[in-house]
Amino acid sequence: MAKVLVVEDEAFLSQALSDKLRKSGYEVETAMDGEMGLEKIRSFKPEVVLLDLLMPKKNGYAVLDEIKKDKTWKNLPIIVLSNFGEKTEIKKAKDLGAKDYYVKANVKLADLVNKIKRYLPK
Amino acid sequence: MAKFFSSSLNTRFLYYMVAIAGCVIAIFVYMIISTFTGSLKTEVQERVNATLETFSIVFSESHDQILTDVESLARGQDFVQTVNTLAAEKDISKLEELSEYVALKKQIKNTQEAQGLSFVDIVDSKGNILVGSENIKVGQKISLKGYVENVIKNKTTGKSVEIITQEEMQAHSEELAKKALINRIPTEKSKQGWRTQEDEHDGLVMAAGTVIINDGEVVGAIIGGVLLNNNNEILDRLVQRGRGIASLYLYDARAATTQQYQNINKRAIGTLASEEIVNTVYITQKDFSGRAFELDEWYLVAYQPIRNFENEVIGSIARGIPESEVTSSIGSIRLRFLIIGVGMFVLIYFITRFLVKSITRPLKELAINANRLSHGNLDIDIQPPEREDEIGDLTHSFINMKDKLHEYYTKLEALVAERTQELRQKVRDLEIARHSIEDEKNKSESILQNVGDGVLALNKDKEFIACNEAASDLLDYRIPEIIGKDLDAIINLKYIKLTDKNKDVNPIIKAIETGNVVATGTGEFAVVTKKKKGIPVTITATPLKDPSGEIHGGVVVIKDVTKEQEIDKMKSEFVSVASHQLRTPLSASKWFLEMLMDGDAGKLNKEQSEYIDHITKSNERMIALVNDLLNVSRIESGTIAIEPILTDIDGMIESVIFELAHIIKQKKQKTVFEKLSGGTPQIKIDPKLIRQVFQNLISNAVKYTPEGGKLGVRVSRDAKFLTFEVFDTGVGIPKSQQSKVFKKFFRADNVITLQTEGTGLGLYVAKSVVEASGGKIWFKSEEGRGTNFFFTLPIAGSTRREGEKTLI
Repeated sequence: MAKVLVVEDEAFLSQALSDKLRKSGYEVETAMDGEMGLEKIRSFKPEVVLLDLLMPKKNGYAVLDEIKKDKTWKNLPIIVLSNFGEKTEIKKAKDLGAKDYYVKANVKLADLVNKIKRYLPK
Repeated sequence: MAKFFSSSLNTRFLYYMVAIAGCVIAIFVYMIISTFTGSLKTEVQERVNATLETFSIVFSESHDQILTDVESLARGQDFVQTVNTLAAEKDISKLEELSEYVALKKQIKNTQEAQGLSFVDIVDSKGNILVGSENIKVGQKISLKGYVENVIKNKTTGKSVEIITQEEMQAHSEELAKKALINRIPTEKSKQGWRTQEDEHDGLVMAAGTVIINDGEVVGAIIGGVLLNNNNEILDRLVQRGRGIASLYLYDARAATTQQYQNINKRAIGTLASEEIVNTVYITQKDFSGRAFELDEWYLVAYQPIRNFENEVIGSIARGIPESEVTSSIGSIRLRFLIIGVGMFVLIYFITRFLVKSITRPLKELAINANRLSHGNLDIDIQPPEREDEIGDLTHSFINMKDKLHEYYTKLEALVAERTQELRQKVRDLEIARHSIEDEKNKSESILQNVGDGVLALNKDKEFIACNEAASDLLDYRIPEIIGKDLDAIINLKYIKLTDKNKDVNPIIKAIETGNVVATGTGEFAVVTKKKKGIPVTITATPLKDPSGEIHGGVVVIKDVTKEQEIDKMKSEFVSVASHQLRTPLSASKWFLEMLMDGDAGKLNKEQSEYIDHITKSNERMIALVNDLLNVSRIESGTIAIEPILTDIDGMIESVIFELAHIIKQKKQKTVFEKLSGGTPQIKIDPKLIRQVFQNLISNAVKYTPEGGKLGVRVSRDAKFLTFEVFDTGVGIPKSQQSKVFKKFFRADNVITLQTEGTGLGLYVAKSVVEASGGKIWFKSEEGRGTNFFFTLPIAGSTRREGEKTLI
């Protein structure tokens, strides 16, 4: 069972994502902030990470930055989900190694699941 | 000389006239004297020649007398008988003893003495002396260089001048020989070596002879002669009558001469004739007439050769008048002419002086008066002249001129006074005007300086002529650095806004060139200051026109809108954060609704399903509203990026239609896509932005077209642009509201009542995007019949622009 880590401080959103992913057949862990997210990446060793940007303690950029510095996670696909959607933000996230960037309000869960599927080994 | 020429007209004129007169007189006198001298000399020479004629006649007369005497003797019958007898005597030694001899001797002696002859000889037919007047011996030969033999031989009677030798003279008497002696003396002017000095012993005799014939047979001859050497008898007679000099020459030496000169009688025997005379008279044997040096004077002379019976020149007769006599008369003439000349000169001097004075004196007076006049003395009193000549006219004219001048001057003074008064008034008026202008200026300046915005004024060459402190502060230039500089040197504008299609146009230049006021909006321009700091500004450029409407500059008001920009930024940040916060619950709703719809929480019944769908639609509308608001905010912030890439627009249109397919199907609408033949060419545009345009336009068409209606897209092109037409058969836009179509949050009245969803931001966004991409957007619409939206894109593609934002 493929492992997906959801790093999201909003409980409703976190629940919606994890519920849908579980229903779609994934093993899901959640983290409520950036620091926890990093810990879970190390301990849980997810195959795909869904990462929010605006979070307490450590924001999404910081998380991306640290993961980028650690060669262990070189091939870990990280999909950024944020309700900010400016070009500058998207570019910054992608420069820090994010594979995709979606504005939450503009993406359907079904599409997201399909996207995750593409990053997993067949 | 300078003094001479600078002296008065009077003197100069006088000098000129006198100089001319002097020259004329001198030439005149010279010509008269030279002519007179020449003619005088000629005349005197003629006189000399005439006296020579006289000389010749007198000489000939004397000679004739001798001939007459001897002939009269020879014709006497007794005489002939006596000579015949004596000639018949054989023994000549006994002749002296004959009584006939003694008687004859006495007779001829008497004749000789009575007639003043030097000798009288009777010779026989052989030329030997029979009897002589002197103590000559019988039988002695007398020849006179062959003359005697010639007379006998030719049986002639004739006179001749002949040479008698010293021996022949001594045969007659020693006295005769002594009398004939001449010492030759060269004249002062004779050349050296001309005839060495020697004594002349020959005698020159004036001789006459005739044969004595008895019974047709020559028995002898009688010869009479006068010795001319030292014989002055004829010469004295000549000179007494005609003065001057008269000479007889034996050969070239004076044998006799008489000179009457300055009442002194002079003899000059033996002096020689000049070389010139010798050449003429003795060598070429011609008469001489001309100038010669005689004794001790220059003479005008005439010479005539004397020839013997053999026609040889043996002497000459000469006559002359001393040249000094001529020249003395010339001298007196010269003196007379000189006196006349000087007299004329003096006369001319005084006449000229008088004339000159009569002309120049009034002129001088005029000059003095003119001088006074020139010094402004117009009150001089000039007496009108009595004369009626040109000078009189001139003086009259001068008086006229003076009177006129006086008149004009008086008028002028009055005029000047009047004008001065006017001028003073004008100066006062101007002073007042200047004060009020200065007040105005001070007021204006104080207003200008106290305006918070930068104000600058330009002339028509776009050079700054004024600016206020605020402008100086804003631009970081000091005021003196700005004045006189070109617009471009001071105001460096940077275009920062997305939407203005005239972004390359400098609003200040545009205002001055078009004559219209140009105002820019916030966020369109930033000005780069001296310190290279970009300050966002708004610019209001107003052309300055003179009353004729000609533009002679402009006024620029630059307002620093940094604060406004900051507020804008805060606004945009607020929108960003607000939209984020709005989106978060919306996205939670969206996802849970999706899961409910998908039946993740159990299967829904029909009613539940319908409700969930309504909630989903409302939620989506909220999301769309937030997205649109964000887009508007991005557009207005002016930081939208344009990233053109080669795009398949046909595919884009098809995909947009496809996305709307389920609604179109629901509304049973008919869609058309009229492509260009061969498809729309791929051009470089920002696909995200242009897609947004198609989405907005086509979704509007779908939204506002009732069920079963028709809508579509039509593509056309020209050389530069592609034109996209999105048309429908929908409700259309009311005419009254067509002008507001592209405004934010505009929604037509007729669509609001349709209760269709819509934010009123779509067309605003579309217009912004099309214009930023280098195109234009417009529409045609008729209420109830449909709407056609058109927009163009340049085939050359959109211009790339860096920016922080893009549309969603």
